[in-house]
Amino acid sequence: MGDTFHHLLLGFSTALTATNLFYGFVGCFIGTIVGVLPGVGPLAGISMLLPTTFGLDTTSAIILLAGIYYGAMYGGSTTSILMRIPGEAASVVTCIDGYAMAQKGRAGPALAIAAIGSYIAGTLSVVGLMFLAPPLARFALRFGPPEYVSLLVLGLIVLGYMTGGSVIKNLAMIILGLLFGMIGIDQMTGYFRFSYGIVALGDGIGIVPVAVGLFGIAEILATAGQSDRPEVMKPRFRDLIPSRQEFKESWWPIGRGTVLGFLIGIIPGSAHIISTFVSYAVERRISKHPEKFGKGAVEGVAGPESANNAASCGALVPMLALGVPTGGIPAVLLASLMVHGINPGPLFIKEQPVVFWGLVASMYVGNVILLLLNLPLVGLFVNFLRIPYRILYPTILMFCVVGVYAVNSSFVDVGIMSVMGVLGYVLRKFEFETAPVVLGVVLAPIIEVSFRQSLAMSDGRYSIFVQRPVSVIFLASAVAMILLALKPLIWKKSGFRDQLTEAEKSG
Amino acid sequence: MTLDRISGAFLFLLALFVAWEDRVLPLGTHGHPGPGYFPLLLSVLLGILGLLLFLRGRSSAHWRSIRWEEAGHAAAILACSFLATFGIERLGYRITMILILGFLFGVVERLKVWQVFVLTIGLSLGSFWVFDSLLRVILPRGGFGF
Amino acid sequence: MKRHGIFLDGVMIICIACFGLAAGLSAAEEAYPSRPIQIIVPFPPGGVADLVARPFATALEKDLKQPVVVVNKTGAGGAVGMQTAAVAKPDGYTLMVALSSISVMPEVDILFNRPPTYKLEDFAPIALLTADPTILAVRKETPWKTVAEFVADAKRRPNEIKYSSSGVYGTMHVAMELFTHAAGIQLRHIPTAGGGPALTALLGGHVDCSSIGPNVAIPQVKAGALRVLACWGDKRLAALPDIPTLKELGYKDVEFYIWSGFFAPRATAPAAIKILREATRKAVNTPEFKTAMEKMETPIAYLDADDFQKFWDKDAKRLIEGVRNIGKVQ
Repeated sequence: MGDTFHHLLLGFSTALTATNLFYGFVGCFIGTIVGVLPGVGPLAGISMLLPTTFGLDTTSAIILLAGIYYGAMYGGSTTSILMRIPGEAASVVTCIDGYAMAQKGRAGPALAIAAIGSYIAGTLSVVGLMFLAPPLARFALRFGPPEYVSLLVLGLIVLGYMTGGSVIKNLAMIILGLLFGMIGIDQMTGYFRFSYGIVALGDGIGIVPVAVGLFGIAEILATAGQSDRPEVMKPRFRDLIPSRQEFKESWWPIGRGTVLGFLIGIIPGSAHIISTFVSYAVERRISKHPEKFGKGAVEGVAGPESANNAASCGALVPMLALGVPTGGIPAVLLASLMVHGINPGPLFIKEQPVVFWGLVASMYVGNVILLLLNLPLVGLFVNFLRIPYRILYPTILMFCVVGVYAVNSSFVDVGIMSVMGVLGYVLRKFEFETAPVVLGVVLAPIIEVSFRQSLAMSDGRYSIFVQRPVSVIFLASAVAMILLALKPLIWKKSGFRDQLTEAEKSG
Repeated sequence: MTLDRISGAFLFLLALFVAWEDRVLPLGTHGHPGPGYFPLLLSVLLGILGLLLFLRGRSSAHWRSIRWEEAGHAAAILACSFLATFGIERLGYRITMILILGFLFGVVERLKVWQVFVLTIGLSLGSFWVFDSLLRVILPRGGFGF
Repeated sequence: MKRHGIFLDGVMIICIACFGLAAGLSAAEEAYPSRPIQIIVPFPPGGVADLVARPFATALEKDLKQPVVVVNKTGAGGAVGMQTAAVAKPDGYTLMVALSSISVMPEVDILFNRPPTYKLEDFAPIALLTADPTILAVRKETPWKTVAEFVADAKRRPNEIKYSSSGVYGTMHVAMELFTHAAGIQLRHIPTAGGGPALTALLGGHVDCSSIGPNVAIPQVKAGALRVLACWGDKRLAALPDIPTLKELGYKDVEFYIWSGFFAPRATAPAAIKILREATRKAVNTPEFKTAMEKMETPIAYLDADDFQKFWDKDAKRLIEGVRNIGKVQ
């Protein structure tokens, strides 16, 4: 404990130098912009700036790039709340209740809660990173293909609670998303599936075109021509601050979101977006008024936004503790370290205390910077809503196009976005939820590949799923949850789902 | 003909389509699933769900209840989006954006001429400068070199 | 007034015509390179190709006096970016840095009876930049201390020892298959989504061994998490001088390098290629590039175009043979 404190002081002395403060600020600033702009995500932002960091000192370079990374998680909620367009793929869930809050005139509080939740989650996760990085990382490595399958089975059951009403429709949307996710090259055998000879589809449909298309493009398609759009009134200062009630309702979701997000983020290969869906589902399940969700429940913003930030920090744990890149962004951060001659491995924390603790300290500082940056900007952003929509939506279209194109310099991605836009528009008309499609696209590769890898590992024997302790725990929890759900049928009392549907019919 | 019946039928047909397209992929065995295994499994599930939706669909809203008033507008935006897809590399980013924004601001929204001019040129060239020169993301210059 | 109007119109038209002519002429006559150059990297940022291409691009800029920008165009194991480079306008402004997997993909397409996404002949090699042989890394809990022990164990229990790879027909898969084919053993292949997940699977104990690139493995070896049994190179690695090469141990022709090369579309003007070759030669010798590669522990293995073509042909032959041996994976 004393050691850690000592190291942390060392870290702060590095992070608080004028140079590193400057780079931290630049990183957070760029990250916020990257997060706000639909389409351009943190991976694109970090890759763009990677070459410019070659000439910098190692610690400054990693502080800059990491700042972009978690800064983007702050900014991503802005356009989600104000325009129902995800600033980056992981902010899709915030579009649901965040936008509903904005429609009720509570855009300011939504943005503020998102920023505060992000700050708390970010700071607490850095604490977790600081103390628990090595043991957590070792635990994370024990997640193999069978554990992924069991975890995802459990996760899907949890997510079944995510929306009330038509279970059939939501399941169908998840399956649609899973099918979209199967387009492209099959990793296990090299066959091309459903790609019709278009090489660019060979890697499948990316998550960015799908999220931006289903939410961003579909949103402007549905809204642009409407004659009866409610006019947004100029918000008073009082309206920018969350009410006491909203604060009260947010604390626990923020706490739960932080823990959930951090744990899910640690798991190698998990996408941040999964943590937001899980947080949303959990909040909805636990809430005493689940019918609020979808109509502007602040828990639906507080939880997912916190989970998002915590997950982005958690994803750094295996990378820093063991030198293992667990996703696209940690891989680029690792690369930036390698270019400076540091090869992160299990000895990274011991051998490079200046860099590691400098980074940790800068993350504390960075979260503060971002909070101070985002809160005052709430007023500015809310005024954004007052720009007439006729001018706004072509601008949005432009940003979506350039953002999606910039990811992979591929016009096919822009085409996918357009097609997804049509799909999202039609789905809305036919009363389907579009968020589960995004989830399906993210989950498809993980579920299928893990399942087939597990069977490859066991040479075809299904027993592998119950032979490994972690996997057994998840599967047992899944069975328990199914039994809990079936309890009403057995006891013939009206269960959660019936209460929900009743409330929705009357509400 | 209710909404749910239409969507249910559509999902069912989609499931059939996926299963048909899946026929070229080897299925493998339960112990060693091949590339065709999961898509087939999912298409079966989707088909079942589509069928269920169709059968229970009587209680949902009638299809005439959908409001399409913004569809024309949406079609225009969509046309622009597809133009962007095919034009961005052939015509170059700036020309494509000028065409799209000019169309949306000028023809669809009918803003004043000077507003159209300022917004179109400003946003097109401005965004190009930010991404291409500042952020060094190469945006295509198209066949005309611009 | 009218006469003035027509006169001014005429002047304007002549000016515009001259301007256009001048622009057109200048475009035709300007020396190469006169515009920014694009280097396509068919792999995601942070990967081997990317990490070599970026310092290389910076070094080239100094000699060519034009911005040289790296563009990541990922997909289908690299096929998307490679196809883009193959069909790009051969004006010398679109080039590519690619890895050894370039030789593998057309063969895989043939295997699956697909029209090839590109052909090796579509590219003119400019230079070889780096060439890392892969190494055989095993988990520290495994009992094998030498390749001989490993092979003996594998023969005793065929299809039991598991190895991870970055994807089917990828670099780690083909490398391992070259070895197992020569050694006559059968291992169980667990493909993953890339180099990172493959390493994670190995470190987490979900597989027993893997054929990986040295620069990600060496830190793990130093920390004691992994042990190295052999390397797929022609000569021993400078960073691991005690590790024998498979060639030494008697496995002839089992060599595999994750090499990175600089390419242009085949039809690019010979004059432009000559300038690029010269610029590359200078860039590779700059202290900045050398330091960058040293820091990443990636030794520079520069070969000029003709030598590179010979190297590439030999290497491609080996890899294509390996893919044919693997056949279709079910």
